[in-house]
Amino acid sequence: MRRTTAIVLGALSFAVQSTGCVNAQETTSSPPIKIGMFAPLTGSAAFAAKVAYGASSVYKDINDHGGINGRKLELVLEDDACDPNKGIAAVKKLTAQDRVFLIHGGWCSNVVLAIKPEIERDNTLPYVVLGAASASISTPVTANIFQPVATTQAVANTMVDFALSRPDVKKVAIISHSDEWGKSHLQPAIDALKAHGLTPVETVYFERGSTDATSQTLKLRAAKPDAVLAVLYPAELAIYLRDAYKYGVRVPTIGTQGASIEDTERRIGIPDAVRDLYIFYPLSQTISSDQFKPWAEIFKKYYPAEPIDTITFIGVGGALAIADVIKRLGPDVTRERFLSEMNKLTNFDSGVQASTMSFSPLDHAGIKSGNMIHLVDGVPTIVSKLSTPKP
Amino acid sequence: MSKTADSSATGNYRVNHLARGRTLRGLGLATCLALLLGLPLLVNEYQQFVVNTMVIYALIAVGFNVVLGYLGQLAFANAAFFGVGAYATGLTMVHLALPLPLALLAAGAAGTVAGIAVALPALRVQGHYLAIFTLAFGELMRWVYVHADAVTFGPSGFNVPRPAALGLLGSPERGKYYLFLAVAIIAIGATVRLLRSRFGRAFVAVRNNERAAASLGVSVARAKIIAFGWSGFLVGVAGGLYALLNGRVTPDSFGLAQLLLNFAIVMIGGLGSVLGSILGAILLTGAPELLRNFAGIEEIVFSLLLIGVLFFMPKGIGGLIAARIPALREPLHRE
Amino acid sequence: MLAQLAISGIVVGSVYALVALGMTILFRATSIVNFGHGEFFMLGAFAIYVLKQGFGWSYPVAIAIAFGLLFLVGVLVERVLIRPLGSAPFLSFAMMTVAFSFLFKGLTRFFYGRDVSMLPPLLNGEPLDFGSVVLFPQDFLVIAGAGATMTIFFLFFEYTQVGKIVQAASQAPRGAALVGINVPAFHSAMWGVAALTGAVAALLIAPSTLVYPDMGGQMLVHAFAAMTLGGFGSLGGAVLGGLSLGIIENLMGGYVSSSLVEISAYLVIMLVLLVRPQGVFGEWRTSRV
Repeated sequence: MRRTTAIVLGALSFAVQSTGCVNAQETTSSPPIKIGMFAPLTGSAAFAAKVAYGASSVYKDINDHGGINGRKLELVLEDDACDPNKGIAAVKKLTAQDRVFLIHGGWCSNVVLAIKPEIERDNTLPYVVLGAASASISTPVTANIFQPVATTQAVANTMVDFALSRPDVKKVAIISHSDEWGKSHLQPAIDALKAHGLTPVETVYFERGSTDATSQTLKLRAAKPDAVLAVLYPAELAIYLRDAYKYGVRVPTIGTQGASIEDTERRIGIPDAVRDLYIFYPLSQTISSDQFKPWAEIFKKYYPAEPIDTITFIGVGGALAIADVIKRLGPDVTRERFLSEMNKLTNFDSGVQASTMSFSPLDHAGIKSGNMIHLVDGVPTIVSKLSTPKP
Repeated sequence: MSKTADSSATGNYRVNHLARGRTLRGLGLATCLALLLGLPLLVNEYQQFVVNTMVIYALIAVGFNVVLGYLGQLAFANAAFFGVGAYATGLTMVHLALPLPLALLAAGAAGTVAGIAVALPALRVQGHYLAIFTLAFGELMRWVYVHADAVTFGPSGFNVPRPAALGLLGSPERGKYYLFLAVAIIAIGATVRLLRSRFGRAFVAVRNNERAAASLGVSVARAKIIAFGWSGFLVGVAGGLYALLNGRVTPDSFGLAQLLLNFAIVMIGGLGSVLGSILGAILLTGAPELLRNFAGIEEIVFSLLLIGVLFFMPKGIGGLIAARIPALREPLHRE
Repeated sequence: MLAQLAISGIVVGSVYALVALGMTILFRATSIVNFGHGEFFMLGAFAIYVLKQGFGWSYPVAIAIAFGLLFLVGVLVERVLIRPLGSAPFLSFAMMTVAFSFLFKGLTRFFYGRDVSMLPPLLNGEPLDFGSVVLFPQDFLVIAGAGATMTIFFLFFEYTQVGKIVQAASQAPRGAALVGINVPAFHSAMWGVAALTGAVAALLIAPSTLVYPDMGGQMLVHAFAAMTLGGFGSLGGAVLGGLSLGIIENLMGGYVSSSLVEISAYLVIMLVLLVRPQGVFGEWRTSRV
């Protein structure tokens, strides 16, 4: 049986290598540029598959408009199931077997941090993060790893600055998940508060899958905060807000990205419970705005069955930046030139993201801030400052 | 008991038969070994990585089978043993800078301790009580990884140092392969010997009827502690190898999804079959890679396979082989 | 704060109690421990979600049909997956429930895993203030719904003729068969009822959480903890265990540490099984394996 496996594997590798040869010979005239992508298409984070679909729509749209400098893009999309082992396998397949030019992928920080040593080892391979936000992906800098999305550091800084934009806010409390996502926001938030000379008056954990936040909310209430930072996923954010309203914690709540503010309101069913809710928002405009309509049409064209959501657009900025850099390379597309052009990207405006993107050899965290979104008269609106308390 | 009577009746035939079986098996093993040693020449780095994963899962499956198939205890702590081993290797390498062999031994030791820790309640409760207890134990371990930040680096996990020695053979994956293979062959070989010894017979006696076993002088407590301890050792070592394979250890790798995979491998491979466990591991870790383009149906395929096995071949692949190829029949196979 | 923690604990705990009760009924009737029970809860939530949000039906219609569907699912599980196993060992039944739990999870993930699915609240309304305790109208609904369902079960088992037959059939299946009770049909019905209680629990909880494929896992562990605490196989124990677990979680979170809420259920299971396996409220029942 081991013999059979060996034979099967041998045959498999031979078949793969030979098809590889055929591809190379066929396409010498204008070979496509292979872009490898990996994301959680299955598993508990499968909701983030649309991040990959959003970014691949950009590449498909480019192909339908003739490609870049006459060369088509060829996309290879792999599943990582948000599991480090599967993610490493996906990256090894993309590099050793599909021999992609660059990789644009990764939503789960766990997976990206697991493949990081792999990417560092092959230091010519350009790797651009698709959506993973952990700040330790791009800090300290690795020559071939670029992070064109708001890092947890950027999100936490934006949240803290926003909370403190009203001078009477002095006491800040935090409610957070204790998983990787939660803690990777929590620590930067505590650090950002420290930079303002503050420490959180209370920090409580609220676990994913919980159905009641009574004990956490009562602890927060006892600390009498002026504002609460909520590092929670959409479901738990709604549960917390409902309980905060119930127990009279009526202070501004500043949430991380991810939750849709309208859905949150609908789920709670009490408009007053979200009156003081502000959520980090990575995009330049709301997705129902005119500016986003053309994008929505492109996604619908390639992925008609997929729902469109804020996170659909998370990877779009990175895809546009990659396309822009490849375009600048002209006919001579090499990995070395790609990396050096990426390092020169300055104030790149994708039109999609909340801020412009800049890389330098010393800084590969391309996005430093985001917007905050708030319901104004029932309409999600981008706001710049915490509003003064209503009577 | 019926077995002894049976073998004395057909003693001569058995002896010849066994001798021939042994020669055949020896030849087969030698061929397999040669092929396994030459395998890295045939595969690229990605395929090598997948094969390395298979070797680890073969070890896990054999370890899990000791408790599930031979001792007959429904324990769901396997993913916990796996995690404990991975953390032991990774953390001793990071915090104490232990060299690799010692770090792997640490994984085995940690796995053994966890195994014995689970065996103690197993002396008191059985059946679904044990299943529920072990389920809780596994989740508790995961909570510890997440919340003991100072030691375990919390929910995001940590990178495991890459021993330079593994890169000597060209690619690190190839170096890992020979290490994993050596460890797996030694550990599985030792397990086969253990199962054939009086300890193995005691495990099976406990599985068949605990009270009868006790009345025949088998120490049920000792059998359980040894089986759980050894299972924990094997799976712990596999965890250590897994830490090395991925170069990163994260708490989420040792949850319910891991448990399902382990479980499906053992069931599909066959309860009480070492060979079946190995084949099950190869099948279930290889299939998802071959089916990469059909992402999203892994849970469905695994659960349907499990249901199919329960209905149509309760002895799994191991049972199928035992029925078709007598030379590969395992002595303590579940009858 | 103590009063609020206790009362809120009872609200959550009554749902744990309901799920634990469903598992206990099944266990008493068939001596099967259903590791897929969490998925009945999850399927119940998805059934209501699909009928309500997908088909746009009103809550009462969606709920009624979802309950019917879940009863059918339970019956089908028994008929298609459990009964053919015949007199297989305990291990096989446990495996089968594990297998179908992942099958259901995989199927819902395949069809709905990429959506964020949510249900509108059953009852809107401002919180009601009772001095030291504040409650939402929804909280009353949860307690009332769970309480009513549990009461119906108790009345059924204790006071009706059918209920007594059911008890007889679960205690002595062979004897029940001899006096003319259709034991297989009875087992099917009990699976249906178990799945139905999952749906009732889902109705009470899902509108305040999201509906997602992994939602059953937590509930299963809580139900196990409740059953273990109350004594495995005891109907009253399951209810008391569920309520106590809700209160324990809240007290842990309120007075010890919020990071312990998550593992309260696990600690309860391990402590009880190590110290007093018959449960805090229960008498020792050996499992019929």
